Amino acid sequence: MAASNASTSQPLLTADGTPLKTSLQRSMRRSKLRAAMLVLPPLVFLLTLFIFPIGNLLTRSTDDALINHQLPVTFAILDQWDRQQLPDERLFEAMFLDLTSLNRYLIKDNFASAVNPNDPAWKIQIPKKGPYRDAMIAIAPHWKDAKTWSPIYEIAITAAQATGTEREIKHQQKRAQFKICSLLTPLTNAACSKLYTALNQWDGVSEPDERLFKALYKDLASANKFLLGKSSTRMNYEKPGFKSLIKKSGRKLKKVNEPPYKEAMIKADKRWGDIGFWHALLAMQKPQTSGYYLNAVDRKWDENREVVMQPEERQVYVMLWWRTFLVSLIVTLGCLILAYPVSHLLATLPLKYSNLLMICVLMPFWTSLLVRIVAWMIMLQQQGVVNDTLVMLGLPDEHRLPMMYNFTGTIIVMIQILLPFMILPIYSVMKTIPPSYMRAAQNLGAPPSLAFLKVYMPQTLPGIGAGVILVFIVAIGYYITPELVGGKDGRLIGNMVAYHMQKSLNWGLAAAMGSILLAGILILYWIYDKIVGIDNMKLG
Amino acid sequence: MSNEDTFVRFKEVQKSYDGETLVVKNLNLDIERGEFVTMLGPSGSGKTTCLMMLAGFEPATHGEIYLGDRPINSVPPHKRGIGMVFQNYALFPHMTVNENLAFPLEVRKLSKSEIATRTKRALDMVQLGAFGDRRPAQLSGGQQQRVAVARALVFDPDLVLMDEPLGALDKQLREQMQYEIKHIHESLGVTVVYVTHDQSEALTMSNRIAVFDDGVIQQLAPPSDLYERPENAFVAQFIGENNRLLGSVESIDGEECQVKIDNGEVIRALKVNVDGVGKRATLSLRPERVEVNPEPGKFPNVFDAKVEELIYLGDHIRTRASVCGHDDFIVKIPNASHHALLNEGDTVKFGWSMEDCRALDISHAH
Repeated sequence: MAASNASTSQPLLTADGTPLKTSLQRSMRRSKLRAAMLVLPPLVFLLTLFIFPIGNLLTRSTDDALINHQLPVTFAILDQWDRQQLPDERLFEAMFLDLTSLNRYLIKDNFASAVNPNDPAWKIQIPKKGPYRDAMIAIAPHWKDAKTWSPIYEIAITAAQATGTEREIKHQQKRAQFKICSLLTPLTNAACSKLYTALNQWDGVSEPDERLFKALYKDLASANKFLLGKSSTRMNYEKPGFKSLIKKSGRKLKKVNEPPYKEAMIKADKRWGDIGFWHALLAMQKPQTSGYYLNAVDRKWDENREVVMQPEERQVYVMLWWRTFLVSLIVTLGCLILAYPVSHLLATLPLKYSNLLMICVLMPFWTSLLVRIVAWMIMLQQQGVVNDTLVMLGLPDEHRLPMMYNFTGTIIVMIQILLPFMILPIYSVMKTIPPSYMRAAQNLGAPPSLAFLKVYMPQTLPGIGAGVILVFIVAIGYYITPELVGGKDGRLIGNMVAYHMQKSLNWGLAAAMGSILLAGILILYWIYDKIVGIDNMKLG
Repeated sequence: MSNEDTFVRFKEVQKSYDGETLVVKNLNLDIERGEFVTMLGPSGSGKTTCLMMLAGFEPATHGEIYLGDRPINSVPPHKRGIGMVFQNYALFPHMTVNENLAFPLEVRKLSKSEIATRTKRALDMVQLGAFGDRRPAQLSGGQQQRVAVARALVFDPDLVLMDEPLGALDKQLREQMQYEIKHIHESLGVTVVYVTHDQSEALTMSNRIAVFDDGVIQQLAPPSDLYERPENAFVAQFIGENNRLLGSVESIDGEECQVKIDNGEVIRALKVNVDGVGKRATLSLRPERVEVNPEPGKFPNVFDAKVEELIYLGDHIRTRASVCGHDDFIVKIPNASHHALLNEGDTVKFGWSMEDCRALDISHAH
């Protein structure tokens, strides 16, 4: 009793008087540190190559900052429009200014949500042939101050003083030009070369002169051209035709100098008189957009900010999602049906036969994916081995089965490719089930079929679960097989992601699709955890 | 059938796995209803194979097995109605104890209430009434073993097979379980065929023991007979401790024979299993049947012995001595109030009766 009282009232001490806890921590510190060091490399690897890209994917799928930067004034007053009729002169003027002027790069509060649309500075036009200084200072007086220029001046001077080989110096200068541009515009891949040169000819303290402003104007103008292109691509996602509208009217609007802008713009391109283009702007007004996600499921915002279906001819994705889901389901089931008996054979055969069988199972793993797919093409195409055999057996030549470049082809080849992912976890679970369970069940009176259903199969569930999850997850994002053998009606959502990444460059949509896939997989995982329990999953 | 009470009958049963060697050689065995028969033998002696053939998991290569009057060679395991306790228990890990017990009853399509009562009764029988909702993995080894016994009995089979069911338990638990199984057998009157390689287990529990070696039953007898009247050198050696003296038969006189052992001494022994005068024989003598310094004339066999080693074991003193040229002759001296006090190196006399010294065949390899 006395001892236990002592231990509760005061901390335990070691022989030399230090508290036991401190002593324990000290003795464990080294091994903990060593353990942490071991974990560090994979952790860093995971963070940089997995967590970070996924975070990037998620932000990209909702990011709409660029367009907000491009049309600050328009978006600032867009809410005042009644959305029923064509906008009035005021909105047209805002659009005209946003499309033609460089003012947004000069004014400090230049983001749609922070813009003061009533600031007269928006309406000041910089003369195209100069002089630039006065107009630009009139737009944003802080440019008059040398301090405003000093951050970019520092960058330019530092780069100019760089030492090293010629190549290194050139590289430094290029980097400085990129850096300057990224400070002034949302672009990170444009070079402000004129400004760089001009800054290097400046002393950094005297009042900025016309030469600096001219360089600023020229660099901003070329950056703006690029940004306008990007923005119009974004606008085109909301309403096809927007890109060509911007491009075409951009040329003509250069000649317009004074109000009324509404008539001038409609004259430049009559699509400005189409209310649909103005409605499309509503979906882009927030710096975060759900537009990509809506697009990924064939939906969009309408003029009343309600989610509606895309017009019928533009609906593709919902069907693709369903097809992807269906293909994954069929492939998973097919793999399960084929894998179960093979796994059982693997687990019960004597070692010398099971080793041979295991090699057969693993062989596909050691063969290039492309080789396997091409082999299937040879097997399944119209003039392929399977069809030739069938014709030889009496199938009329004109009725050769279409098994390649369609849904069937995708299913067959994906099942073959993903089969090992199903076999291995099931096999590893079956291997641990001693034959005595089946014997016991039969001994207790169950016929072999019932013994299998009630006793053997439930024990293989962890393996089945692991295999199903594995195959389904791999199948749902599958890309290369459908691309090669899928033809038109065997394409899956993965192919659409690739298309938008590589061809249409609509990364926002690709990212949204990727995020939906990820969410789908996480939901499946959650359901699996609820039904089977993740602890019950055995991967090997 | 020859005997009314014969319940299980192996008739000329042979078994081979590879077609080259026989694992079970010409087995004939009759087991009576309600009997507890143990198949005892070293590993590889064919005892488990016999059990598997009886349960239906291995087909007999030749011969017939009868259950009651029915030949069961072509009856599949699930229709034999035999309960079985497996070596590793084979309790279904994904079911609770209750579900495990209910399994054979559900298969037999009994009513829900009937299943509940029978399950409860079986669990109470093994004193695990409170554990019905646990999974096998949540039970200790001894508890799992009891559940396995309860499951093998819950559907009231007439015959229960047990395949080394206590092998995985520690010594104390094993002894306790031996008594429990024995009592269950006695109270239910069920026929039990039990396989083990542990002779004390066999001696404790069985009505009769079949000692297997090399695919052949060496002797089938009640435990006391097996110990006291082994019929061949293997059984004498395998069951209990045994002093073995080798020699050749000098003369035979009715029940008695004289054997000249290899150092020249002649011992009078009971003729049990010898081939004839001049043939080699093994003399078998239990260590506790030897008397130290017997009264003169009490025993026909009295020899000088030199005490080599004394081991104190509490209830008795194990004495190793050189007798008749054998220096591994063991004598157990009971730790009684007037036992002989020996010291290492003493020379004393050892004596034993003719009946306790059994002349047997020459055992092979063992």
